[in-house]
Amino acid sequence: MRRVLVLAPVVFAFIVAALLAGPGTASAHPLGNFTVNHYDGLKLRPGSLELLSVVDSAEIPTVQEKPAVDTNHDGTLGADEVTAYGASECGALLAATTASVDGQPLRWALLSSKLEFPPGQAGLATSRLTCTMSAPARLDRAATLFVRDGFRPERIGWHEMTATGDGVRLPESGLPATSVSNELRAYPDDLLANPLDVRETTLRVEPGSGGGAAVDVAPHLGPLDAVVGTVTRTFTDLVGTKDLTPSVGLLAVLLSLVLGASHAALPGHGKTLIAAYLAGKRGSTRDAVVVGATVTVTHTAGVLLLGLLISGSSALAGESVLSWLGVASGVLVMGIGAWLLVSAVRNRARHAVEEPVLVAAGGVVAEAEHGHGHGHGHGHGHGHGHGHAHGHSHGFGRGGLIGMGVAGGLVPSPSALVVLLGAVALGRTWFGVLLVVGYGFGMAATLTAVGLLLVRVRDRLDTMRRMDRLRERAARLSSWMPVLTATLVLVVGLGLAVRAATGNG
Amino acid sequence: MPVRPRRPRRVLAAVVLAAGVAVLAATLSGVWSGPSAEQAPPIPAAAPKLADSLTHSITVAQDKLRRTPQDPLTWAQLGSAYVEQSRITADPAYYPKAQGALEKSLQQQPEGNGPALIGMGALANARHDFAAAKGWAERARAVLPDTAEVYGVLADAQTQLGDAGAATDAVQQMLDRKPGVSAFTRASYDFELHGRVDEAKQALERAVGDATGPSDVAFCRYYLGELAFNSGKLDEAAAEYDNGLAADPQNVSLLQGKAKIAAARGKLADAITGYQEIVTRVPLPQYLQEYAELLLVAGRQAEAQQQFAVLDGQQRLFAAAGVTDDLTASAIAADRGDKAGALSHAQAEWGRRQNVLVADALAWALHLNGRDAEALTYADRAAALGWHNAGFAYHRGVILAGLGRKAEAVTSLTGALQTNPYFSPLHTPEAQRALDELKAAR
Repeated sequence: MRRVLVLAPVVFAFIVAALLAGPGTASAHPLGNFTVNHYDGLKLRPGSLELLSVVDSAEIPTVQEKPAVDTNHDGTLGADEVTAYGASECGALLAATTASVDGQPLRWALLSSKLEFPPGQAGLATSRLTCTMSAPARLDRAATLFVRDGFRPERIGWHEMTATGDGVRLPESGLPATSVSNELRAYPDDLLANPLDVRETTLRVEPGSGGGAAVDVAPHLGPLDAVVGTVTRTFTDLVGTKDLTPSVGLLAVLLSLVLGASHAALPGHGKTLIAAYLAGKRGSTRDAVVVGATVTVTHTAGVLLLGLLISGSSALAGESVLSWLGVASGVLVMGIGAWLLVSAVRNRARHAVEEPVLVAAGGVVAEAEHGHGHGHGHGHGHGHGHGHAHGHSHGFGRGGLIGMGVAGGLVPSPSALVVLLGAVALGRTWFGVLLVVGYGFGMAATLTAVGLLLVRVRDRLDTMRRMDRLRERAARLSSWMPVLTATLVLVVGLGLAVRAATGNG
Repeated sequence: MPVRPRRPRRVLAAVVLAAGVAVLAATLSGVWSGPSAEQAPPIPAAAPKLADSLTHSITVAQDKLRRTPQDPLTWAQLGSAYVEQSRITADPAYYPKAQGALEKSLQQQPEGNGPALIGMGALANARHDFAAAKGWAERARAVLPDTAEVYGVLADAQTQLGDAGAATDAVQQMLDRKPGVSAFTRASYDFELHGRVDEAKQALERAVGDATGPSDVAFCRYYLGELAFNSGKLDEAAAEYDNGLAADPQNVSLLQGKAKIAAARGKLADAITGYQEIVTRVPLPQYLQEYAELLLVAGRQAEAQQQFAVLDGQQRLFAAAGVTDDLTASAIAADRGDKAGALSHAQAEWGRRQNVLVADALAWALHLNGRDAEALTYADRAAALGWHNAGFAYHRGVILAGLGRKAEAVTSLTGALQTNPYFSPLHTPEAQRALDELKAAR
């Protein structure tokens, strides 16, 4: 509130205060005395569309309407006046409600109309207009139904729609089948939901029965919540335990390690695989550790930073930041893939026949090796891995390795984030930080282990390959492998970016 | 070459390759099947039309609290956002939600919960319970002495309670801490109350420069329009209202500004149509009263009485809840010729708060009841800050005339009509008539 007195809407406060002041007065309109509230209950039959439309007007609009009802101006509302006004209002509502099947407008016929004046607050009446109407409609086949309630759109109020099918199957993601407000008789009182504002609907229907969406007033939960749900409930419960004993704390830290480790091993973590692959490709224990450490540091820092931002500002949506980070991570992987591809193609051109080939490493892969000094200049300023175990050259340097690690750790795990936020909310920020660090270590452990495993496998394969008589034959095919690998990395990166951008990261 | 060692290695290679392919397939299928498998069904609930930052922060806070309900800070932020949303959308359904969220926050953290105390203060101001708002603001200041919002709540409460000095101090504190839209608009109002119109305008221009969302822009433009209108500059006012409507076409206060302009330009029919639309959408007492006055000016007595009947209904709703807006009630009673009612309401309001608007209303009510000598002391108090308010000057002139102080009366009435010749469709002609009579009598 800035300039209270001159500010118009403040006076609403009185009306709302009026409602709050008397919770015992059951007659008070729960949505405020100015509101005009709409409910449209659709019933779909193979040959027709039926509509039950209710308009619940609070005290003030009812007073405002009174002169229009009282046509003989005698100050009282006679039964015939009420009946006539109800019919004319339902007529107006019918005219304002548009419906179409596959673009063909439907013609409504009014079946019944009723106007009542339930008592409201302070001896004033409210009004309740109930109209039923029906329209012939071909809903006996797959069709798209559109309905819009355009009756008195300018007035503030609740707008609700439901749909049921009788011999018509409704989409599951469509309207709920039952009214959360009991057709405007009891408005739900959820602090975390905005008033309903559904004024139109498009339903793709099929012959059959069933379908329809569950009743749900709450705005939907994002993918973040979906992931979080089961995995971290126990975890957050632990964090939230009233008495945080050392043993409970230790248990939580251990659990965070396990969660982190399993998070890194989950399928769908393309970045992780690629990071592991690259570590395996470079083939040194140190490189495997580098990837693990980079992922841990990036992930821990990311979670802490994002947690800090989110708990500091409600304007920042965790979901949207996550999806942007997902896109960034995907793009980074794509970039690395493109770079690999370029160098692989160049190398192929340079060395028509190569030594064959290693398989494996997360399966993405095979690799061309050149027993030469690396002759390709991508000019990325890093030493190209000289002096490590095998002495052969690589298409990839430590910079790229760290890049992959960053990509792998860039998108904070939602569960780690929630644990941190939960701990912050409970005033146990440091405990939350500790758990996130533990989580990162868990991830690093998995990644390093995978990397080390690949190094081992590689060494064994090297030995094997040297003995392989078929290597000449394999050489031709395997010379394409770097290109294939690079392409796969590119594709995975693209997939990650697309998935993050479409909100499913 | 030994054959045996080779085989297991090949098997190993094959196994590793197969495993790798499987993992890759899993990864890719995760990538590609993701969108269809994980897509949340579109929920028909709550499609907010204002995709601005406020709506966004409400959604974020709601999501966050669904995940972690034990979070007093977010509950407080959500409560405050609901108060703000109610102001912007004029939808009172958010006030009970605001109260619920703020109480939840205080319940979770009863001590040192500054953000919730600020929210409670803002809510109390919104409900015209200014004394309570001041109490909340003072408690919040004890916890968060360096937070600008504390002083915003305090400034609003002090302004309405009539402690102009304390209000100015609070605005200054706010400007020192966070010179943004909220602080500049409050500073502007403070300047205007003290008759410093140019500075008021500058403050609003700085506010509009800082405003980002359409509702903020509309808000600033409306008050720039009001400043111009209150100085009788119709074209400038109309331009500001239009600018505001360009940002927020559905803003009711801007539509009211346009209707006022139409009335001032003598386009009574247009003005009445405008108000009709306004009171259909948002039947606030202020709009209903202005609409009724226009209908009276147009000689449409019966329709005016219908609007008064609606106002009656609202007064009854207030009374039933033990809530009182005696300032508005006094003005309505005065319009309807209910002299005794105008006085009793004005006295009741004065008992609660002593700001310039209440002083003016009480002065006018005393005059209507023939008590001009007393009326003048209140008219003096209304004028004390130096506000260039045409309505105040008109009231003061008529009171002075009643006391026989004709020269001063002429000065005051002339001042009223010079400040804003269009200040009220109903009262401007009366001011002109009173002035003409005074001049003729000399």
